[in-house]
Amino acid sequence: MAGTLVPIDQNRPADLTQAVHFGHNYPEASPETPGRARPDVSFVRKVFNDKLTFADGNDVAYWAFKDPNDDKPFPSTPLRLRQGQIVHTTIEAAINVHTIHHHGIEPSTFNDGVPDTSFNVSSDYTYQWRASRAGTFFYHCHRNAPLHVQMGMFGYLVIDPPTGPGTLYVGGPRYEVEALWATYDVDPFWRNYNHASGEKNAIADGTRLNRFRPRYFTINGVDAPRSLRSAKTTVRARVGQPILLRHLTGAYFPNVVRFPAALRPVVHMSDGEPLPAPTPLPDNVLRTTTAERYDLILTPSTAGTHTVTYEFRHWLTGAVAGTATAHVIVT
Amino acid sequence: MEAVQTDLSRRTLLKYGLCTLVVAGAGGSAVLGSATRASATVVNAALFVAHGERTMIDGLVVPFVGFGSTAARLELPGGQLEVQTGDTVNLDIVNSSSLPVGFAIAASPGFSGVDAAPIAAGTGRRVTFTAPSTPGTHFYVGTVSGSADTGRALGATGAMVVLPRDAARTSIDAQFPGVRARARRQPMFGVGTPPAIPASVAQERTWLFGELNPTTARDLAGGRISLPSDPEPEYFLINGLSGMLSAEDHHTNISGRAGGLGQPGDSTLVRMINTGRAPRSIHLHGNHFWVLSHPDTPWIVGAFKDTVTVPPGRSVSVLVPLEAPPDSYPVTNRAQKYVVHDHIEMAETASGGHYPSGMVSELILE
Repeated sequence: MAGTLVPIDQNRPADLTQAVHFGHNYPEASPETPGRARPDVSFVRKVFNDKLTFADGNDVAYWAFKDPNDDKPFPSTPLRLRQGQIVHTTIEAAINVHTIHHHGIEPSTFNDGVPDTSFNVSSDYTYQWRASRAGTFFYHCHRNAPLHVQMGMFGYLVIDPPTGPGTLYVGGPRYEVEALWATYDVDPFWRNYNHASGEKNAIADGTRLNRFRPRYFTINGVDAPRSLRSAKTTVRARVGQPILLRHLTGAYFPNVVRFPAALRPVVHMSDGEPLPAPTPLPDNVLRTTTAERYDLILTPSTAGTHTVTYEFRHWLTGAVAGTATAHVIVT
Repeated sequence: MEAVQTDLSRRTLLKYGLCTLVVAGAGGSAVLGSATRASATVVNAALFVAHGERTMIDGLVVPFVGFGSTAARLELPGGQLEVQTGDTVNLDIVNSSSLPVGFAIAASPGFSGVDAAPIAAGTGRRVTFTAPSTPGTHFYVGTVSGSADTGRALGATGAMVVLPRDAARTSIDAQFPGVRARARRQPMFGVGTPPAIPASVAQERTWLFGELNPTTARDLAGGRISLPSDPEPEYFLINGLSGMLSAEDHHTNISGRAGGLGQPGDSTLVRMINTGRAPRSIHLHGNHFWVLSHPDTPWIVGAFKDTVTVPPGRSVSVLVPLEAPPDSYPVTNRAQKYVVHDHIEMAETASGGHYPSGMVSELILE
C-alpha cells in the first residue's frame, strides 16, 4: 500500500478500506417498490449531462435530472404536487448509478435515497412517499453527495396545500407572483473528477472533496452579469402585489442575502414549516447555509428594478468570495 | 474523587511528567469524571492538559493537545462539565504539556465569559468562575500558546452544560423557557390540529463538532499559532469521531423508539457545539427537529426545521421528536435508519476526500 499513499500526507498508514468506509459497499440495484400503492401523482426524472456557460465565455459541465419531455434544464426539472398526495418519483439513472433523496421529505429508509442506508439505483427505481407538509423542498442525488450535488444534480420540490398554488400552506399567506431562486457556486476543478471520485482510493486518485474553491457564483446557474431580465433570475410584479420567494441555499459557501428595503421581505416558512410568527427580515438580510429553505413574501412599495444581492462567503474565513444577483421589476 | 488542591505542588506535576498520551475513550461526550458537587452551589473539578495522539478513521495518527479528567487519560472531546445556574465553579488545571495553556469560555448574553491567563508548562492553577445565570450550552477551550483558535484546532475543547437549578433537566420549560409557547408547525396533510412540541426530553446527546488538518496540527502542537490562512481541514469530527465510527457510536447517534404520526417517541435533546472555523449546516433525515436555541437567528426558535446553521464558535440546541417518519407510505415507525450530516458537503469527507467518512451520524428508530 505504501506506494499509493503519498499525495497529501506523508504519514497516512492506510487508505480507507471497505472495513472502515461504509460508503464503499452499498449495493447497486433496481428493486420493486415495497408496498407499492396507486399514486396520486407520478414523475420520471432522467439523468443527463450538459454545459453551463458564464458571462466570461467559459463553460463547465453539469449533471442533472430532467423530465423525459424537457430539453436540458438547469436546475433539474422541478417536482410539484399537493399536500396529502401519494407520490411516485421514478429515477432513470441512465448514466452511471445515482439516487434521489427528497430533502425535507421523511419517508421510509428504503425510499430515502441514501445509498449508505439503502442502495444506489443501477437502472430505475420508483420512490414512494406521501406528502405530509406543504412548502418548499428540493431533491438531489445522494450518491457521493459532495460531488454529485456540486455537479448540479438537484432541483426544486414544491408542495402546494390541497387547494393548490396561490397559498403557501393551509392558513398561510396568499401570493400572486412566484420566484424560485436557488444559489449555486461552481468549482470548475471538480469537473475533473468522475462519478466515483471520493468513494474509494481518494488519496491515490488525488480527490480533494474537502477543497472547494468556487470561481462562479450564480442564481439558478446564472451569474450576475447575465441575471437582469433572465427568466431564471427576474420576476415582474406591480406595486403592492405579493411575491412568494422560495429561497434555496444550493451553494456550499454560506450566503448573505441582501434585499432592498422597498421589497419589504417577510419570512413565513423555513424547511417546509411555518415560523412561530411571520417575521419582517431583520435589516432586510438573510443569512443561510447549504440546503436551508426560506419562504418570503415580498411586497414592493415602489416601482423600479429592485436587485437582490447574494453574497457567497468563504466557508472558513467568512470573506466575500463572490456575488450573484436576482431582480424584481416593479411597475 | 481526589481532594481539591488549591496549590498544586511541583512534585505532583513531575509525577505526571511531560509524557505523550494516546487518547482514551474517544467517542460520545462523557460527563467530566473529576467533577463533584462540593455544596449546593459549588462544583469542584480537575482538568489535566497534555500532549496526546489521536487516530483518524483512516488510521492516520495526529498529535493534539487536550484535556483529561485524570492525568493518565486524555479525553476527546474533554469531559462535559455540568453545572447549575449561578454555581461557583472551581477548576484545578494541571498543565503537563510543553506549551502555555489557558482556559476560556466565550461570553454570551448574561454571562461575561472566562478567559484565564496561560498556565505555564509544568505548572497548575485554580480557575474560579460563576456559572451563567440561565440554562444553556457552552464549550470550554484551552487557549494554547495564547490562542483560542489554536486550542480549537488542536482539540482542546469540551462542553459545558448549564442546567436549571431546582428543576428537572428533562423539562423543556425549565431548560428553554418560552419556547413551547412559540413552537408552531402546520396541520399534517393539511387537516386537523397541528402536532405540539413535546414537553419533556427522554434522552440527550451532545455533538461537539471539530475540524482537523494534520499538517497544521503538527505545526500547532510544536508551538505555531493558528492563522486565518491555514489550509482546508481534512477531517471533520463529531465528538472526535467521523464516518462509520460516529454513526455507530452509541453516545453520538440517536437511537430510540418512535411514536406514531405526529406523536413523539423518545424525544431527544441534541446540544450542537461548533468548535470549527466553518459554520455547520446540520441536516437530519427521517424527522424534522424543533429549534430550542439559536445564537444568531432568534426568530427561528420554536420553528420545526430539517436543516440548521451552527455558527463557528457557537452552540444550537434542537429537539428531535422521534415521531414516525411523516411522509412514509405505508406509515412505518420501526426498524428504520437515517443519516444526519453536515450539508456543507466538504465536511462529509475524510482523509482529504473520502465520502461519507466525515461529519455524519445516524437516527435509528428501533
